[in-house]
Amino acid sequence: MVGLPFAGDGLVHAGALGLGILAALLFYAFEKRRRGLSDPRLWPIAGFAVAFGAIGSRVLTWDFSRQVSLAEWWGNGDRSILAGLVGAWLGVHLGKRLTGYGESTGDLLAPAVALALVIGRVGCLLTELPGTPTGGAWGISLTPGQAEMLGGLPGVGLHPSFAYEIVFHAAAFALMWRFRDRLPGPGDLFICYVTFYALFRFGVEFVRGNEVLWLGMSRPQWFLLAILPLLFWRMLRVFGKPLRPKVEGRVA
Amino acid sequence: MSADNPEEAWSPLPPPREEDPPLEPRRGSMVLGILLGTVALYALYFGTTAGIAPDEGYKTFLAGPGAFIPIGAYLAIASALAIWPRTSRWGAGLLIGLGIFILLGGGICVMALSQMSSRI
Repeated sequence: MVGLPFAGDGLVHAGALGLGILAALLFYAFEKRRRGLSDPRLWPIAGFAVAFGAIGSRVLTWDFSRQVSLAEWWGNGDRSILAGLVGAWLGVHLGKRLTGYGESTGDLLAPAVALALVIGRVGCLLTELPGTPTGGAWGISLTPGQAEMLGGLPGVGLHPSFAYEIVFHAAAFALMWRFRDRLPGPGDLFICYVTFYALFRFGVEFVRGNEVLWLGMSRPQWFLLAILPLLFWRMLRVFGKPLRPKVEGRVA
Repeated sequence: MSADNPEEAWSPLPPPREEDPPLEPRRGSMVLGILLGTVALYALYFGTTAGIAPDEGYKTFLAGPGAFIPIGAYLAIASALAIWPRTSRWGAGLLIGLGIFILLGGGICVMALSQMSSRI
């Protein structure tokens, strides 16, 4: 078993998150250039995505049932990647509407988001409650002090659920890089990434250790159950069309 | 038809490419917007915090619903700058700065405060 080196360390968490955002912005700039996209509205759209993703990660998790005001929740409440993704999606749509940009930006944004999550989740892996007990002699082990602080069990192997997620996003990034110009329609890459992440996240929630809301499932799982039918419907539209042949050079 | 015109067919200049997008105007610095926006938000929220007491919470006039007023105003100004073509890069930088402050702000502030309290 391995230990948790930076349990509850906000600076390590924030540092990894900051590096993830930086890597995503650099990749966005690179991919924008590779695709030959020079529309000046694309940076404001990225700005709306980051700002509203951040706001969404805090506000959209607000739990009224805990009798906590939004202001208190803003300062001390839960944060969620899923809520952040929803916020970023709303931000992109708002940005596109306000700037009058009509093209799809999903293919440009999806690999950047995956890259941000690969790096950002390292901060979670090093500082947060890793997951539920593995039932074996492997996993991440907490000291009694860490267990008290994070609300886990001391001395037993816990699923490194954030490591699972890092592997998923790294694989997704590699696949999106491989097939970046092959999917039939604009925005299909984003639909595929979000759908597979939703499926993966639904599964990994069983070993994440989040609070069970109802019927053995956590809040993120119920949220994912609600949006998965919509994502499956969009996926049918993606794979109902033939793949594009590989195109060399500039892609608009 | 152009193909029937030998002069046009042998013209040394390439025909204009209508599908080329317009060149991206570089107005305003996005990086400067990110840095200024993030630092300004840290200065505002961290600088106006007179102290943090276990029983009394944050001693600042930006506590409670008041915490949203600067962020709302900042978001409105940054959005307006981002939409206006002449200042779009500035606005984009300010929006990204807001995102960075919200995502990283708490962690860095808490760590700074804990390091301060350990030195006292």
